[in-house]
Amino acid sequence: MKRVVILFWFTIVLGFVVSPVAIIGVTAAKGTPFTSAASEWFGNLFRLGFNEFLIALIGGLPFSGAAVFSLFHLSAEQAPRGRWAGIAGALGAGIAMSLWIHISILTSRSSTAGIGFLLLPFAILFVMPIGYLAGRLIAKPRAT
Amino acid sequence: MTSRRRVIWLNLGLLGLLFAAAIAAWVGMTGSIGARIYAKTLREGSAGERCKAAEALESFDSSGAPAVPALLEILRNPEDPAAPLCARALREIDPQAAYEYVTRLIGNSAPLTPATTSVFGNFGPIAWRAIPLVRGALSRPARVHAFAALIDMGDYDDELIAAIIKDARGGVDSWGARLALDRLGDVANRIQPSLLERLTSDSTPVISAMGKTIPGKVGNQSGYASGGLEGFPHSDRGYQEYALDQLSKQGARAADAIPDILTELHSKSLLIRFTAAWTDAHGILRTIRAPRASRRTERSEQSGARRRGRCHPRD
Repeated sequence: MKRVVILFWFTIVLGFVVSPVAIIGVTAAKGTPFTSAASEWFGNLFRLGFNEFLIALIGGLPFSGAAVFSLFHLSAEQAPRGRWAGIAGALGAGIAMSLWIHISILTSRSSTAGIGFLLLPFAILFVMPIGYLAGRLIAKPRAT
Repeated sequence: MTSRRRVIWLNLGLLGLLFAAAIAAWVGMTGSIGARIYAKTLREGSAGERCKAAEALESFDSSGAPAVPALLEILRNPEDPAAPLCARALREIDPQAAYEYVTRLIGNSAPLTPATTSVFGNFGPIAWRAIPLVRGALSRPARVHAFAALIDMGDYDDELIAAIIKDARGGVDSWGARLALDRLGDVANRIQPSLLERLTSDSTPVISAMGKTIPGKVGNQSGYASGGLEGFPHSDRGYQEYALDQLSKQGARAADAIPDILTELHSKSLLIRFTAAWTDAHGILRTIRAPRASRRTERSEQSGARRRGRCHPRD
């Protein structure tokens, strides 16, 4: 049960951390020093037109859902290995999708690219079940 | 309840608390707590931080009241780089305090600098009493600040437009004057038709082209051709997005743009295709269907009237 609880909180933290990591990373990659990029992100947390806090919250919601799912899904007495692999697959797919969307938006020159943030949770929720199935399928031959 | 179940519910409860705290933080930071924090930044921060704090305060409305003393403190020196943004924030938070400040600033015997002009401009129509003062700057060689300020304050008559056109034709500040022309578009519905005609028929192409974009922002006076957006699919991507966004708001007035919007549905860019589909769905097609439907109703009424041997409704 301890491992399940650790995974639960790890998933939640991961969900909220992806957004700042992507934003600070892209800003730093564009040439801003890392500390300045981090303080810029912090300064824009509640700033109109940036709303980094809200973006992190929106991006973290599907991961919170996945965390709740994993809490129930893996809390059985002897959770099969395939379930763990499925959750790992779902998280991997979710992170990949979240990072890809963040980087696409942040590197876009379009003035309306920010609309993409509204689609972020739906896109993550779409790929997570696919990642879960993929994880289970990968784990299945190994188990047999 | 088993210990396993208890652990699950304990963690879910903690997660609920975390979300409640996040929502409380959001509400607090966009309300009076946030205003106090930004006020502290206005007093103690660097020039850049002060500008960011002032910009953030613009969205606070009356909940930003705790920041008013700090805003007024900065505005004591109109030369402060954050002063124009503070003016904008103050007018949103407390218009009465803004009006009183403007009145005091007019009474100040200090000469009118570009920074002070910009502060007046950022107060917008609240600073109407400063219009004669700012108008005095039109006779100076460096007057581009006065153009923007006067337009924002609501003063755009023949004299101002003549000065803008003169400067937009060339010279050191021609780009500033052209930006002022663009700014005129935002207040186009308040400009006299004769002034608009002067702009659109100007012999300098850049002025007439920009002048043509102004009617596009006025209700019921423009079509696609006179909106300055014609042929937008041949422009760069940023302009295509801008044009599609504008057309989606024009409804039936942009009916002539449909062929160009349909062209955009085949664009290589996914975003352009998406925006074009959005423009089609939410802007033009929906508003065109309604008049067509009413025309059909009208026609059926006319034929019904003829069948019944009555007069044509238009006769």
